[in-house]
Amino acid sequence: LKRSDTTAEQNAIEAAQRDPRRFADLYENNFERVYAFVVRRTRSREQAEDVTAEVFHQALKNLPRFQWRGVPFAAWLLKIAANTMNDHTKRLKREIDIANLQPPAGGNFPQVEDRARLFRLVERLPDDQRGVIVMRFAQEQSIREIAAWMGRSEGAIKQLQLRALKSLRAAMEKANG
Amino acid sequence: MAKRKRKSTPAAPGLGPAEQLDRAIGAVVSGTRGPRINLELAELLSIADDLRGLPRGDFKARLAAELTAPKARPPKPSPRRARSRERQRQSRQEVTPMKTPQPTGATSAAPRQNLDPVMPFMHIRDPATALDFYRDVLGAQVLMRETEPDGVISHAMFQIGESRFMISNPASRHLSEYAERGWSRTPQELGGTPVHLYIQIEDVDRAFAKAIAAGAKMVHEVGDMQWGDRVGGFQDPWGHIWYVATPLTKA
Repeated sequence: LKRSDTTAEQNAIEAAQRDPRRFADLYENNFERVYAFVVRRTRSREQAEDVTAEVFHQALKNLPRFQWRGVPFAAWLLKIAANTMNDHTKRLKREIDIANLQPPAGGNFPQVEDRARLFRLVERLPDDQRGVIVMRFAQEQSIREIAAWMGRSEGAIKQLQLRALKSLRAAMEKANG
Repeated sequence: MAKRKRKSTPAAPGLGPAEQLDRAIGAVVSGTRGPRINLELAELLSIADDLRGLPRGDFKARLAAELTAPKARPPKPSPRRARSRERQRQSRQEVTPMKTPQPTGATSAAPRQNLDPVMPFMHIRDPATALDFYRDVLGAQVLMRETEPDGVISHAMFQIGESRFMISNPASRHLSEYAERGWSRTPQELGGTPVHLYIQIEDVDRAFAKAIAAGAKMVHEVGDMQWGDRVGGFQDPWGHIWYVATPLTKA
């Protein structure tokens, strides 16, 4: 985080500690990070959503006890996420790779940051490209289903998919400098 | 970005890049061997692979709404409930998405939210602009937006002070059947509104001035009322009539 970002985050945390309704800012800034971290380590979207929801509810509940030590707020959230997933897998009595659940040390989590940025960039795509990406990847629909839904040919949907991915690649390159 | 190395099959001759990429994506999704693709398409495939974790459109908004109503937190799902949800999800995937209108705006898997005893449900054909207006004029906080794949907002929820409001968009596919039956007419379509909204806000004079500046029509000049409120009335650009009020002890 840049210094200005760090200050803004510290202010947002303090504001939310004074007034829980201000937690919305912290949620808005960190939702994609938590989800990106969780979704690759869970077995289904339903489990990823359950864990993500639990992370933010725990964070909201424990926020008054949170002490700012200069580490990004996301690192704290990811630690809660790792513990939550650990609890879930214990409840389900399944073998897991514990190392895979450890949150990144020192707040350095480039892969999570990259995916979170990618998820946010999807929102900035033109409507038709975003629609194809959301239906194809978030709703797991086939090209045929998307074509039927959007009233276009399958070839047109594949072209939109290609253009959307090119747009995202360009936006990611720009964001990464 | 996650980089994948997988054995590939030769690319089919004569296929364009859009088709080649789609076949490669299909292979990644199904975990099978994909066609051989060039470096540029491989980069795009890597992005597609990361997008497989893209959250569903309504989840972020649903959780945001849930966090503003902490008492509504559902219990941790048991393995049995998780299996039930999976069956529900599979069941949902078998039907055409959003064909059946759901008046609450919630998906079938959405947790029950802590709704107010009475919540105005406003019909507006341009929710995005209306939400900006309510935010700028009335200090509204947007709690939820449901966006259809083509980018149209079908439902939204916002809060002003302690009061929450729903918007539904009769121009959305989700509400098309309601619109066809005449159940979701906007004030503009009706030529007026039979219900007015009366809300308490911090500073009636400021809000009223902002409303007029943002395109609202004056209905009732701001003044002190005998029942103890300072009140102003205006019709917003979508035809809804608001009375904004501040107790005289505050004004």
